[in-house]
Amino acid sequence: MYRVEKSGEILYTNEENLGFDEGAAGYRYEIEGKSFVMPEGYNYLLYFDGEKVRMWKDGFEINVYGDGFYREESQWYVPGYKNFEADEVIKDSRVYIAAARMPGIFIRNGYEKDSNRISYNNNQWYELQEGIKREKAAYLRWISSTIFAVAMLLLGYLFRKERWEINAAIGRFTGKIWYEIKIVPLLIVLFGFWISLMVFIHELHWMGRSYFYDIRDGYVYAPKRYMLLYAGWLVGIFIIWIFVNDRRYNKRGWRTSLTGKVIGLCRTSMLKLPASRRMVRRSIGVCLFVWAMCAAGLCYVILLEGGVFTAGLDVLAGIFLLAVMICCPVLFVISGRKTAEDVDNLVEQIQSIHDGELREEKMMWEGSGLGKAMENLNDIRNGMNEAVQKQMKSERMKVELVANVSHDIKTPLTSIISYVELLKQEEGLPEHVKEYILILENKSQRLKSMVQDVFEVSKAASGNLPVNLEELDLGKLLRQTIADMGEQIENSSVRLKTEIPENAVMICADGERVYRVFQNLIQNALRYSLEGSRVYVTLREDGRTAIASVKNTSREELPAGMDFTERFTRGDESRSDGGSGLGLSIARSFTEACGGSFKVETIADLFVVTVIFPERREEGGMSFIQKD
Amino acid sequence: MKECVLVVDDDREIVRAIALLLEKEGYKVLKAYDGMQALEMVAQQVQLIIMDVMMPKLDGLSAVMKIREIKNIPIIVLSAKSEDTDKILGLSMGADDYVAKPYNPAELVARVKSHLRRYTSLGDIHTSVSTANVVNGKLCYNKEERVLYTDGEPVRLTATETKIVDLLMCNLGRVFPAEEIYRRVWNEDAYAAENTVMVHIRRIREKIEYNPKEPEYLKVVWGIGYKIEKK
Repeated sequence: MYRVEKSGEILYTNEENLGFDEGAAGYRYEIEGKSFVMPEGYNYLLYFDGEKVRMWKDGFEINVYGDGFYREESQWYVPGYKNFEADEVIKDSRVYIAAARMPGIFIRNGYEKDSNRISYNNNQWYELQEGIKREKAAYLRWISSTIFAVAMLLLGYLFRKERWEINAAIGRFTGKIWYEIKIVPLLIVLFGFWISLMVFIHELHWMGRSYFYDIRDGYVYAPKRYMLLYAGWLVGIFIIWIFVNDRRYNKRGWRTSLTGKVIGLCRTSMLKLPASRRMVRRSIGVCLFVWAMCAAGLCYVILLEGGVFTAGLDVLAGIFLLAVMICCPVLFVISGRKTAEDVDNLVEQIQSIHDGELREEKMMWEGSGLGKAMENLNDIRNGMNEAVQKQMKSERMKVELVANVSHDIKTPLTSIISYVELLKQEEGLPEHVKEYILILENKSQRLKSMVQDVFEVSKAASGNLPVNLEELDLGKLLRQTIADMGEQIENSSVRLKTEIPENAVMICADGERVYRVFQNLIQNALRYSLEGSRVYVTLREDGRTAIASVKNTSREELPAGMDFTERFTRGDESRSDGGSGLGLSIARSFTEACGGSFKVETIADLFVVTVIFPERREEGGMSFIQKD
Repeated sequence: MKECVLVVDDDREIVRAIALLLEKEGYKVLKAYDGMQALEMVAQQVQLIIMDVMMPKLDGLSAVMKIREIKNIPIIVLSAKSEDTDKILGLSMGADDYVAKPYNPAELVARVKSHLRRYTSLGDIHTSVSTANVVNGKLCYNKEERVLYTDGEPVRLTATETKIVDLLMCNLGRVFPAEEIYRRVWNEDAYAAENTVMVHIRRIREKIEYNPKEPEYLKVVWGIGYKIEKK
């Protein structure tokens, strides 16, 4: 705090807020009748009255001049000594300087009046104070950022599930982006890091000389530059993190890349594309190659000649090169596409014939080169069409014939059955006549069932058998069939042994038809088995198929090498028994109509029929029950 | 007075045979040999018609459609065509029943009786419908009395058969596996259920079906179970 007066006027002062006035609470001094009160904390006062300097410290006046002579070792360099008197100029000046015990405010600038130059050297105290402030701020920053970092880590740990989800979501998003787009920023970042590492090494090397200035310039005068640097580092780390995250969640991320796509486009032999597309794609590969070569040539010219467009000739050459570069592949693709379309047409046509579409006829354009092939194909198709039509017609006629014949047989048969019934009701007939009537009734009933069988066999043989496929349990069906035929089985001379798993054996078939299959098989077995022998009905499953079989020992000697499933085939050629000879044939037709397979085997007198259906689903363990 | 039945078929012998069968049962029989003739005779007092399909002049199905315009009497179609599609066509043309040739004479007579009883003495089927009754075609089951009627006549069933009928009639169209029927009727764990249940099913069939060998109501769903078909 100071006040400089000249001739009673205040020249310089900074006591606006403090003042040597009554309100203060510090030391009190009486000078020339005026009373000076020091502000609190101030313990030092210097007073210059134009001739002499007086000083007080802690309330006591200091002996300034000693013996009155100024020497080298004198404590104070002030005017007023006997050999160092004050100038005439400053005789009417008054200077007050007060100082605090602890420095409170600081003089920013020193004033030197010896010349016109005013220098602004920082006061040493000021420097010190600023230094402390800076250090303090730096420590604060360091501590707060450390706390922040720890807090973030903790947060990240607490919300790790959410973090993983977000990571995964980001991974999913980045997975869709082309790999090049991801790898280019990564390379840029790595390059930037490398550069900054180089700079750092450089600075380390020159640290001795430039460290101070760097720090000063950097931290104090150019914070913006460093902000940018830090931001850059942050972004770089973020990009690296995204890349690493992407690698973690998209193991085969390199597949979704432009390069990968281009390679995929070119490597088309594996793809299931129409031939034309494949051909076009193949030519795209060639195009890319041509483009690459042209571009390389263009670059070469530009680099070596210093630009194409300088001289007239070069312009021409450039245009030519560009024209070749653009037109050649385009023309290539167009012409390739035309050929490819022809091939595609042909392939399509072959496919449609393969699929059974025989009517539609397609022609080629004249100059295609494949016209002949198409013509031949059309010929083949027409031939096939005719054959199929003929076949279908004859099949249809066969079915119609059988239907008509069976209808024509049914009408008189109806009369026969009706009148036999009437005869049966007739009373007073002799015993032998009644016997004849019974025979008539039996045979007419057999005729009836045979007509029905023939009709069904013919339908099945022509593939016109309607089947109503549904999921059913083959084991249950077998048990039901056997239960349904219980009376017949009991009345027969053979015993039936079954081996059917308890668990469900699901197949997909028409229940009515499959019932007829096994009904026929068991009836057959009952009819042709050796008396007192056993008939075995078994069902097995091997995970993929359900295998049912009926085994019986034949009464008659079985002729070797006979196809029993042929229509009207029977073990005995005399045909004297009760069967129509159609049972096995019907069974086979029905089995095949339901998607199963039917097999007859004979081993000596053992007659084995195996029916196999694909199983619907896999069953676990198998349990068998044995019953008579 | 006994009901009058009109028999139409181009085969005179068949017409005669049917006429003889029905006359034995005491019905009055009118005969026609083609569709046109049948149409003319329908105007008389006729309670039921047995109609062949393939006939000269006017075929059976067209005749049925024409008759339906004026009369509401039962019509049984008799045909040599035995395919399901033929049956469906016939029934959707307005026939009440479809019998395939060669028919079983006793079955035909039973059907005629059944239709006439329902047409004449039972009247409108809806009069007998109440909450206690389940009506299904010719079958009617009274849940409270636990009695099954076919064409209005009670069927004599044993206790076990009644339980099975009760289960199936109260769940028309639903397929019951043998094990479930066994469990619910016998209240025991199923053992050899298939055989036991089938024996009873067969007996019930003999009591309620026209032709137990070709059941129309109590059916086996092969590989799955048993049901009473919804009519």
